[in-house]
Amino acid sequence: MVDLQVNLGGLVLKNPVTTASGTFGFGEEYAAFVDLNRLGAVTVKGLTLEPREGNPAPRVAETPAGMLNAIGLQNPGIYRFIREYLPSLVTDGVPVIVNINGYSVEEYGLLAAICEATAGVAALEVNISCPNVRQGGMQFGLSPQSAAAVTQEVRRHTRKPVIVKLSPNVTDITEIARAVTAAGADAVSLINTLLGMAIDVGSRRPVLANVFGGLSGPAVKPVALRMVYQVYQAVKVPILGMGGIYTAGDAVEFMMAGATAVAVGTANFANPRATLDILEGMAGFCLQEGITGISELTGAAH
Amino acid sequence: MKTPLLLTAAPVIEHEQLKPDVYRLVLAAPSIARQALPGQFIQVRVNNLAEPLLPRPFSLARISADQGTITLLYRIVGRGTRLLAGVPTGQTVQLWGPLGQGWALPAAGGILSRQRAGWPYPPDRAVMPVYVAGGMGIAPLLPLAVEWYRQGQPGLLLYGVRSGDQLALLGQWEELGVKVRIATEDGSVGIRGTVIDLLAATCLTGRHPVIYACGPWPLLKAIHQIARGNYWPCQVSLEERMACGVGACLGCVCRGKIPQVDPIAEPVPWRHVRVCREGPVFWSDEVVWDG
Ligand SMILES: Cc1cc2nc3c(=O)[nH]c(=O)nc-3n(C[C@H](O)[C@H](O)[C@H](O)COP(=O)(O)OP(=O)(O)OC[C@H]3O[C@@H](n4cnc5c(N)ncnc54)[C@H](O)[C@@H]3O)c2cc1C
Ligand SMILES: Cc1cc2nc3c(=O)[nH]c(=O)nc-3n(C[C@H](O)[C@H](O)[C@H](O)COP(=O)(O)O)c2cc1C
Ligand code: FES
Repeated sequence: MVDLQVNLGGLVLKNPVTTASGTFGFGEEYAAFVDLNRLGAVTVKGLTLEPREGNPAPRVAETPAGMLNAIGLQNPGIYRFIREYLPSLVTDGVPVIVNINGYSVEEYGLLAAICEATAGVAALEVNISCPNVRQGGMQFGLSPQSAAAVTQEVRRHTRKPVIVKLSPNVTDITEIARAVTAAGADAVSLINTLLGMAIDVGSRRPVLANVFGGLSGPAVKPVALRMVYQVYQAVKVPILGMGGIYTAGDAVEFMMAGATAVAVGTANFANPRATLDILEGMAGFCLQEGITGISELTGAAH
Repeated sequence: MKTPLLLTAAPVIEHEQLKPDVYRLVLAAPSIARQALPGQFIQVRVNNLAEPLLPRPFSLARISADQGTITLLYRIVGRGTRLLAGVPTGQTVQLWGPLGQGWALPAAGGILSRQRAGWPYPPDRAVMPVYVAGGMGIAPLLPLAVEWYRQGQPGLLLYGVRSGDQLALLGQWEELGVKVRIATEDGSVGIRGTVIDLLAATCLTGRHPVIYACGPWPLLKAIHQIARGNYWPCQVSLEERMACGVGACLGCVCRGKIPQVDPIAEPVPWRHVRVCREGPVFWSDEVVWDG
């Protein structure tokens, strides 16, 4: 038997496979395919204080081995999430990580306070890196100062594990990682999507109504892996690794680069059972390699 | 109501080229065939490679619970459909579904099962289904016609294509006793024009029509306007770019005038609704057609 349990900054997960925010809805969308309780955790779609309608369509475009999205944080608001979606997730027994998105530093604090007061929330993922909303969002993730300010404010309002989600659209991701860990982050997650675009040559117009969108899927994996590797060397806190994970082998690579746990995102769209297929594959890899505890893989490539 | 979703590797039973760019694909998927409702769709992947990455959505163009098969009718428009066209009989494709909300179905006696507030006809009055298809929009309508046929209401099909040589599988409609009228852009068969002209020229007074339309957005918008002008109830099946197809990614939205679900929130003129989950079939007056 392989011990699959990992500790992500105080959040104990029965295995390292989680879902990437925004790619797994509120869990129920995939419950027909995946026994949610078998996952390490479910990270829900990014939430804001107020409900948001997001960007106009078209919002998605397929690209070579990947896709662009510009959803723009459409969500029912944190209160309706807690009322209508959280209870059934909690019943499923899977730890729920809530992805929060503020439009000001204070709003991040308020969202954190709400999560602190809500029993079903196991941990917070602080999204300072969404490329698809004009104000707020990624700006916070682009400078060490603002990233630290948001982290500090969230930290002040909760004792639950705080995972800060980093943007890859920066010159030096380790600088941001250092800033948020100094400000009290228990873990970091990376990467969010890479800013990109596509053009329809027939109409000579950008494909996405929002013009720019976030690139995800297998195409981004080498970039994401490199960043996880760098951040592992730069900070001591655990890393939730993601970006293009498509197979169990990809997930193992992320762990070897330094991730304590992984998140499966775009792969869910291509295979609704991707999370469990990857989990089973990872356990199989450990058996084959004679590894008794999966956390031994973390940082093995260094 | 929620039907369970299934993920399965479905063997290709028949794969037939109907036109240079149009194919008919019959897949063995008994559990999906048993559950699927007319107007629902499935997500299809030809292989599990990372490229092309996303599944392709297709309507169910025939649902045969007895034979345990479903049929797709598709046109080659790009990489995904070209790959699909190359899958030989006997090979399997990955698919999941049935997805989305289908058409409003007939109940016994040919009345509509899902009547709504403001229904313009006497509630116990049989209605006449009028199917309006633009091009490949024909695909999701046949399973619906089968249901109406079973209730003794064959109805009328208005079918618009570019040219007469694009017409496919009309025999199946005629077998159901559906009256078929055709519009072609080049005038080679039926009237010259579009299916919009056909609908405008068709006298439906006193027949209690219910319009079921599928095709490109501008066509559906025009059909909606004609239907609204005549107080005909009208359903449309929409297409939007999709990623997941199951409601998780929020990639496929349109603006919908869905009744306010949140009693606390301020009323809004529209919401973004998911074509893959709240749709693909909507009542046409629930869709915001402008902007
Ligand atoms: C609910 C639904 C049901 C459909 N049913 C049918 C059907 O029965 N028969 C049929 O021929 N076609 C149908 N379509 C359209 C079909 O999905 C597209 O033609 C197909 O995805 C094109 O893929 P491609 O790789 O060949 O084209 P490409 O243009 O190379 O595809 C690139 C991307 O755009 C997406 N895309 C391209 N065209 C469309 C479109 N019209 N609608 C949505 N996404 C699109 C693709 O899925 C892919 O992600 C349906 C679409 C939807 C949303
Ligand atoms: C459709 C879509 C929606 C997303 N929404 C969010 C979000 O709301 N909050 C967030 O932090 N990340 C969001 N992401 C980013 C993912 O969580 C993840 O960081 C990224 O997609 C890279 O992983 P992947 O390649 O496995 O998808 C979204 C990604 C996609 C594709
Ligand atoms: S395609 Fe993902 S929500 Fe509709």
